[in-house]
Amino acid sequence: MLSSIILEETIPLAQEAVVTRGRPATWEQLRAQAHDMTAAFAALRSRRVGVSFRAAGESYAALAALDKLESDTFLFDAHLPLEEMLALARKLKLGAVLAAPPGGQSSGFSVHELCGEEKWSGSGTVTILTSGSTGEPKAARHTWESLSRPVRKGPDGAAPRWLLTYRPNLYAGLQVMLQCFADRGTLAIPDADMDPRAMAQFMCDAGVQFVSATPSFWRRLLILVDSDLLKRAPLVQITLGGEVVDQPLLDRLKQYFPQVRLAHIYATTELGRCFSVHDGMAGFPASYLGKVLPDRSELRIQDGELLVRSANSMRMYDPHSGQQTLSTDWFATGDLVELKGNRVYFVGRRTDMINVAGSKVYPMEVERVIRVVPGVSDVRVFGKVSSVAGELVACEIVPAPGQDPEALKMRVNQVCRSALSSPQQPRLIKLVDQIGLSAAGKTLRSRTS
Amino acid sequence: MTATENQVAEVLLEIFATKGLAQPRLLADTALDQLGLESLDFAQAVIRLEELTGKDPFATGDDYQIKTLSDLAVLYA
Repeated sequence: MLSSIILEETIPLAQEAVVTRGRPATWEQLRAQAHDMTAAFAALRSRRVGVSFRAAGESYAALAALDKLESDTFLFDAHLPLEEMLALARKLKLGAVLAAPPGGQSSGFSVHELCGEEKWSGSGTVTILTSGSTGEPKAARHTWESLSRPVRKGPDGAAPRWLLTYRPNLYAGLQVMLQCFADRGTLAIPDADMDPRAMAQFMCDAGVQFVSATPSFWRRLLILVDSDLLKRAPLVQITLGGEVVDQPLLDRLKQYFPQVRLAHIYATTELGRCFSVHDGMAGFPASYLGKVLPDRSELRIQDGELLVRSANSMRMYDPHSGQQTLSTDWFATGDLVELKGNRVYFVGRRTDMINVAGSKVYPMEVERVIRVVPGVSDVRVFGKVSSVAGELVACEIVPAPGQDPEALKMRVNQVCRSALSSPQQPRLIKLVDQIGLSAAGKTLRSRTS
Repeated sequence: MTATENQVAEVLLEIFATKGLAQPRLLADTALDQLGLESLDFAQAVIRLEELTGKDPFATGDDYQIKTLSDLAVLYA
């Protein structure tokens, strides 16, 4: 898929394929690079190859070359130090690794050959290495077909401009790239360390029209960036994903960008894209249950958990990754849901649950209450280890400008006392400047001890 | 009261304040089970005291007999 777009099909040669603050690349340059790499890496044909994958034209050129060479490609996060990457590559029995030179500025890859390579799968595959909550990465093997099936080609010549907010080597980042490149668009890649204001400025400068991002990404922009600047971005579509979408955020985005198409997507690394929602409402319609959806997935609820059968799912975990691929085609997502009337709402992740002296507390339910307290801009709720109660509910709050800290805490306490049960009430409240986000742009949920 | 007893008393009073309750008069021999605090309030006090003193006497799993404010303060002394 990627190799045919970049190497074979008609492309707008002079148009930018990739825009970064430093190094833009035209489609013509991307094609030339992919062409050169296909020749340079000929020895990697039909082998197990890792690539240090960063958001830059040359990574996409390398990916197109490896697709052309039908290799089993493993995508490593470019932040991983070389030694760790090689150790992981040996564990996965790869034959070679394409490492980016240190510093991140110069281009090109160096090839590290490894011993003990396992045999090739028989056709080109793409394996996504996720960090996994236990620290042991999961190796989800997709094919170019499974990755590109959710792509919906837009009208010819539209040349949409997409913002890449996700990590380029993970499922969501690959989806954004494939959708953008399938439409011969331009991928705008922000620097990793951009603050919210710089991000908004970059979106304006790069003329970004399509943004696919987490709710946390948007909350941060809406809270910290001057609305005039933000509204200057020529947005056409906002797609939310990766985290649960709540109604206040949808309403706020609608109010900020009345002309924008608003959608939220449900996808996971293993299942691929499962479904999307376009009515501007949180959750999804109960009518989605028990039928085949446009993305060819099926949903059902079992013991409060969402189960999905997806046509876009991975083939398997890599046999050398240590993960067992389940034989059943229904996949328990770990996402807890609640049916209210004709709508299904997400309650939280099974693993995010806080156990307060035996009572189950879902962080999102608490966040929903605190988020609407006057003077609260943003909030994250998490479990704090307690020697007495197992865990207690703790929260970090970003105050709106000009708030008196003690008065705000009192107000939060008051609202929580009346709206939440005793175990749900936050016992530790800390005011912070901003909420920490994970590498995937999601609100950090890890427990603290 | 000792310095540690005062520290424990302050932490307890803070909890009364966040609960929106009137603050009682606390003395070294005040019985903790008659203050109207729940077990989760007590868990909260233990975390707060750990922040202040760096100690968590309950982390060892030992079974303490705590009746008065003074009994609790001794563990942090």
